[in-house]
Amino acid sequence: MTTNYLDNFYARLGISKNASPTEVRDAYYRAAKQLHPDTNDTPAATELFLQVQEAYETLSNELKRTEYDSFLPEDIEAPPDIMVNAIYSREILPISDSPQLIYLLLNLIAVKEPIEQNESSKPPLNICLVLDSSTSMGGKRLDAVKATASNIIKELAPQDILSVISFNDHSEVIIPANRGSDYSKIDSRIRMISAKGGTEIYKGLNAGLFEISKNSQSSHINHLILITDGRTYGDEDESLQLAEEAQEKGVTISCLGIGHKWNDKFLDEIATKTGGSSFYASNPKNVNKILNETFEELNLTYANNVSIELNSEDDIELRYAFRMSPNSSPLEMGNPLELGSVPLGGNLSILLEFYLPKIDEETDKYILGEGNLNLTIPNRAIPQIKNKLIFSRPVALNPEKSPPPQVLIKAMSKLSLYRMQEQARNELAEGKVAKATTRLNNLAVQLLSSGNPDLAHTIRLELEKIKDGNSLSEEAEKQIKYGTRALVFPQERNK
Amino acid sequence: MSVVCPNCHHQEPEGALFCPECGSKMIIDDGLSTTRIISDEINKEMASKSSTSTSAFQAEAPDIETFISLHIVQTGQILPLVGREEFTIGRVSDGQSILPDIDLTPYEAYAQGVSRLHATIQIKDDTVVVTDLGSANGTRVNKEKITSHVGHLLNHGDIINLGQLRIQTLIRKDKIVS
Repeated sequence: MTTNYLDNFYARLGISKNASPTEVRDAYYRAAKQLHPDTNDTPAATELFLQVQEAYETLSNELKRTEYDSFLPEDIEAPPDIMVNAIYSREILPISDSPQLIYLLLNLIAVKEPIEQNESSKPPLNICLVLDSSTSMGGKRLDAVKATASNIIKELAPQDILSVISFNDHSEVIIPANRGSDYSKIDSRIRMISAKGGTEIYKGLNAGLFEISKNSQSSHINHLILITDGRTYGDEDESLQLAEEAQEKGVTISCLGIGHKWNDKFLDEIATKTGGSSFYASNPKNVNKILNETFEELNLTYANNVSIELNSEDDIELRYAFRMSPNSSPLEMGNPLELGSVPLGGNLSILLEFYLPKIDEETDKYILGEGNLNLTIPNRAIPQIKNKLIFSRPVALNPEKSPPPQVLIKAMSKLSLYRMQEQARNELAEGKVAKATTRLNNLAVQLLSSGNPDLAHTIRLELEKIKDGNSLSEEAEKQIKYGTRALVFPQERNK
Repeated sequence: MSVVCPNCHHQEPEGALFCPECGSKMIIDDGLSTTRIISDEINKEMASKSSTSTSAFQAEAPDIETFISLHIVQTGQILPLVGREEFTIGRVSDGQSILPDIDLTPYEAYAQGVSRLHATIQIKDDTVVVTDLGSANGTRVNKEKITSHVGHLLNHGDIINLGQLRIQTLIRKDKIVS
């Protein structure tokens, strides 16, 4: 039985340790309603529902609850109105001299309709659009971006703050950070942006971060959206530094690349440093959809700047971290680990892979990692919240083997495809063409047998080109990467 | 202690769920297949066929049964090869006396240069062999031309060219559920 910080029966129900029996019951009904597999389509719904039920069975029984409490640390606390769930790939770890892997699916679920938040009192957005206006953006691309920007502005609530930057060889503040001002004026200023010059992302980001920083309090949802179609040269490191600065200020960055000439690794790095994601618009037509969804999600944020600080024993290694939902994306392997945000009534779901070189003694609590969960709930009087966190498993000699939970198998079956793509690209970059082609070939086969013939076909076509001595084309790189990424959590966000 | 990939024999630390090399599942499958390509009906057919043909296989390969499907690369169709140990592949045209088991006419076989009796695929135990039947435009496996009338061993994922028509072999090895 787990009696951990942030991985306990109270956290599963999203209540405090002092909750009265009535509160326990209310929380259970609420959770059961929200997580019932019949009504909830998140991939983990069944497991989450069972976990909530297990928690309720103990906490609703006075005797069992008292006994359970006696094993709990004194000061357990969980973030308010968030249900926390940890699903491990293995119940018990065996003692072993050889390395082992364990996977952990961490879910943070905002309870539906928290008391503090309804539509009229949603936390103000503080968003900045940083638009590439280099020559290559001219025509359909810039038109699509401008049209979408104008639409988004019309949707802003009176309390929201907006700024717009245009950049090419230099940056220009089109609209300084401002609250509810004259839409027609803003609109005409956006329409006047014209395409010329090169792409210097640092300049755009720098100006954007300056504008957004004027109001980047934790009671706001601070989000910068970078839209570009090209590569920046020579200012990558400075740009990444800006991303780190943004993260420190609580500003999340999303990146949208249009066409296929932009640097996806670079934009991914900028976004993931702040807990954001990068998106791929193969065609200007997709710009509107992606930006609207991003904007909608911002309005549905319950908690943001979620991160975990995790300290592990020297030999334990957190090898991989991936956000399954919302917006599936690899996470930047830093400490703290930036996770992103918890949507209102939705699920922030993170998959972690731990590498354990050696386990040599029996224990109730082999600690994979301990530290803090940090997050910001903009609507609360004190938005910044820090809770203790421990991930642990019992260890035994030759424990009975139990199959991993289906939800983890499902998650990993998709994620392994994305990782094969990632690995193949690394191999290509290192010149290991033979290894990479074998892996891509295998990936194509897996994609075929999992019902994704189009993506498999794209890879097949590319493989023939690689054999002629080329690397992947920029277009195929992005199609395969964002294609396999979308498989992880196919999102139907148009509610 | 480590786990070995059932497909490519790559080794991973214990606890791994999927093979990073070939993407195969590395843990015991408890019967919940994730294969989606093949429609339910074909699956049912396979299941019924497998139960009738297990006895024939059991003498030599008691645990593993091999299912072969051909994936027509251009169109994305999957043709399962079920119920025999040898299949002839070709196209049907008027006045032909010997008909192939697998007719590729719907996939523009004529335009792609597939002969009427182009090649055979034999499934024996858990190996799969393709043999060119002296076709006009020849047969290639992964771009290498194979000699006519000499068997060539196929692996999962291999691309066979019959003339210009590209076909991928999909080989699935299932444990027989007793």
